[in-house]
Amino acid sequence: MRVELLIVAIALVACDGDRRAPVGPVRFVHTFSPPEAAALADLLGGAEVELTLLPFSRGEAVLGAALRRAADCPDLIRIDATWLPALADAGLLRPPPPELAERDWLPEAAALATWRGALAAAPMSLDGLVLVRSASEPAPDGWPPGDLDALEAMSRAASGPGRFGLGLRADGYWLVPFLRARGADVADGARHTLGIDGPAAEAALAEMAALYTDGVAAPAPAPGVEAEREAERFARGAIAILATGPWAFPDLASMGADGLTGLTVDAWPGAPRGGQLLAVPACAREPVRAWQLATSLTSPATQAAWSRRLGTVPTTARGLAEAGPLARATYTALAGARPLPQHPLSAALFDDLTPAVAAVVAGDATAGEAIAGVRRAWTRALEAAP
Amino acid sequence: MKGRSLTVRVVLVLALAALIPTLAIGALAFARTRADLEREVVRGHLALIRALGALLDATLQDARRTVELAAATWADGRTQAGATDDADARATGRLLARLDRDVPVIARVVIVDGAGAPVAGGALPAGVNLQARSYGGYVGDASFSDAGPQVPLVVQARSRTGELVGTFVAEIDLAFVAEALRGARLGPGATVVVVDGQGATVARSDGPTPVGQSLRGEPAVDRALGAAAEGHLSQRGQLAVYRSLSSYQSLRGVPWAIVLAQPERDAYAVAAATRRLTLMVAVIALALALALGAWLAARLTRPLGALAARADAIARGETTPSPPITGPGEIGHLAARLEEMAGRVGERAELQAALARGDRLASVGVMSAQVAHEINNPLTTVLGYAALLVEDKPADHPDRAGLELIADEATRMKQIVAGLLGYARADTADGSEPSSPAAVARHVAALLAPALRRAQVTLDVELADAPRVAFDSHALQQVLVNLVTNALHAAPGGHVAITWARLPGGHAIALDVTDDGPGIPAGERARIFDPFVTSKPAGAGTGLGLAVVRHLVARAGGTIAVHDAVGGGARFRVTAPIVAPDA
Repeated sequence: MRVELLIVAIALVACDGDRRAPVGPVRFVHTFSPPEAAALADLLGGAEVELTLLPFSRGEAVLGAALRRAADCPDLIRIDATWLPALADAGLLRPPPPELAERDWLPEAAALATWRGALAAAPMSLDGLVLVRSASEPAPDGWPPGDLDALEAMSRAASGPGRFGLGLRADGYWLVPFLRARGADVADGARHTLGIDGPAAEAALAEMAALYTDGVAAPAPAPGVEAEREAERFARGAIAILATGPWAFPDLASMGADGLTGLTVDAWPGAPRGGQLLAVPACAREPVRAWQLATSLTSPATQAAWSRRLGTVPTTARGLAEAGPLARATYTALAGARPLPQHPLSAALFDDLTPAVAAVVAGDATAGEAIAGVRRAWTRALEAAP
Repeated sequence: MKGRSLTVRVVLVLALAALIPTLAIGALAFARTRADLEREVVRGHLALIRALGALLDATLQDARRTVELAAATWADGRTQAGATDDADARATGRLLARLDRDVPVIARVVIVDGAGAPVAGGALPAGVNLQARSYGGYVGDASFSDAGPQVPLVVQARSRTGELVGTFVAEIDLAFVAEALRGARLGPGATVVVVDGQGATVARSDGPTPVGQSLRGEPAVDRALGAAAEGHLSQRGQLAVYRSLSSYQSLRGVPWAIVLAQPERDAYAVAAATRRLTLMVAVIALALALALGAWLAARLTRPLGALAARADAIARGETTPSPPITGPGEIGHLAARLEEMAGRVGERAELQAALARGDRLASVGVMSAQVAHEINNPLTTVLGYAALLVEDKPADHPDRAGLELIADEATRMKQIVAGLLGYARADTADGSEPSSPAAVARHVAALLAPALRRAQVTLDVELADAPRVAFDSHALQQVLVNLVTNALHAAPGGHVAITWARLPGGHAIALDVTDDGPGIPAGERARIFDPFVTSKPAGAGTGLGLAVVRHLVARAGGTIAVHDAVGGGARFRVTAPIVAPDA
């Protein structure tokens, strides 16, 4: 970690020809989880960086408003890959320096950070949904599941008194594999396809909700405490198979006795894949130093160190080669996952899909009623989309 | 000066002995007290701002849940089959009235439909972004007006199927935050401030909230707005404890912060008081230690000073016994030994003086013996021829009287010469054989018994337990014979006694020959032991007796002196070293 800190420190003080005196610390607004935020603080040490944490669920709205207002503008932002098209199309981001494009980015990472044919941000980590089990427990027969039916069968077999076969979140993002398995998908703004216009979407949502009503899926935690509740249940063996992403690894590791080595990861067929990016707003006061910090944070050495500590999946080939075993296994599991449609509309889709999933899981609505509402909302969104 | 120096040193050592542990313990106590207090103060302040943050969160949570319930109810009513616009408008009016009545912190509620068109409540508050489309609602940026700070609470109105039907925007009057801060029991000088993401003051504990005042640039505020959770900062004499409020459920995504600042002198007043008290106690303890040390040092060094003075006096030759020096433990023991040493030194000095005198007299004796030897033979011839001439002359011969005078004077000269020869013999006597004073005295009494009878003098000898002395018995006998003879001449019809006493130190004894005669005048005592000095009538003594006595005593390593006897008379005291001194 000291090496990474040195790299960051050198990068922050290095002169690139612009001899203006720095006007203040680099203001870095991020959406890291608390363990990631702690690791970032350790990494930066005494470097002149002012950190501001945004919760992921409100990150896009708050950042978008702040960048449009251009007042009190951050210098560097850490965003979800689905936010990139909207921010870039609105002209709120600065293009990265050319040398950043020459880094040995993994193809999946480069694709996430590329918008309209050019690298628009520095990919920091890859994520998506995978299936997590405890390494100390025997794998179910036939593991890993080749499709959703196999996963459901294994989950039902693993269920029992005081133990749920599958851990899910009542969230639209978790519905995506169900949709894809049944021939539906989320709306694609680029292709103007609704994705849920057929009966397959209703079937997928009903199938997902049935896992809750049948006692196969663990009851959905209250919004805001999903990560902690999942980790607590998984640590005490109340969940056999947990569908989650690398963002949850630090919490799972901290609850378990064996840390990251106590987790084993496999692919969830049809799962979505995404990632986190570092971008510099157009209104940034210190763009040069911000890109230097982004370059440092995405260096292979830093990525490898973070992967060993937090399980995050690097976005560079060298970083992945030096990464920890859990990160490499996650990368392999995500190889078959598919990214969400890269379009400004994609991030907003879940504002409608997630409450629909929650309504059905809670028994407030049928799958048909819920999907109908989502369908109307997405149709309006597609009509309004450029 | 030496005594004072020693006292100063002892006091200094005692002061250091008191000061060093006092300073060490005091410094440790200061450090620990300060560190513990800092930790506790920070912990207490954090607990307070957590409680205040929780209060803010709970109020906003209650408001949000109420608005969410109202929004969901409203959305379900809007999507029910058969709903009419009039019924919907009446229901909406009732809903807004109930919100206004039941949730005091809500100043106003604005409802828009799914497309953003106004439904009820008037225009949207400035700065509200409906495009955020955040599921679950959010708290927007604070706004400031003459009515005070307000913040919009944006809640999506979704039907039971999750479909977005509209949006409720409730303006929350933040006066309750200021009331909560003012009601908080803060320490002296402490202030609590809640700021929004721009650093603008939302509420403060120490007065009315200044509209739009930005605290950006304040280190604690900047640190708080950049923090993920909480922390503290000490700078420029101020202790600041802060917490980001974005971690609270109701304020997720709202980078507000709460900062409690207090002057360090107030925050750590207890530490300062403890420090003052500790210093006061330390100073008092030090003063007591110094006073006690000075008293102890004086008590310790006073006998030492007396000992030093006594040693100086001894060095000057003042060996006569002085008032006893008392002191604790070893000092008392040392004083006793010093006095004992003084006695010995005195004895030794007297003995050395006696030896010196003895040497001087010995020279005189040798010379006298040589002279007497040379004179004795011609004198014998003179005396012999004088006697023959007297015998040849008839009794009436005119030369007979002259010849008898020559014979008498020659006889007298013969006696003088005999005395000188006796002095010479005493000088050559061997004193190596110890003697018993009692035995010698008995022998002397026997020798002098006729003379004592003639003089009608009684002699008492009280030497029964006297130890053996390093004094040749013949010399001691000659000494006692001379002294007793002088006594009976001085006190005819009187009383003479020979007694003894052990001298201090136990190394010598005193043999006293006492008579009850007229005594020796003080003016003559200095010369009485010189040769040819006598108090007897002319022709009655040679003046060599006491000189011989002193010479003999000095040869034996003793002394002789004359004193007034108790009740009158003279007391000759002869000191003699004992052979095996008693312990």
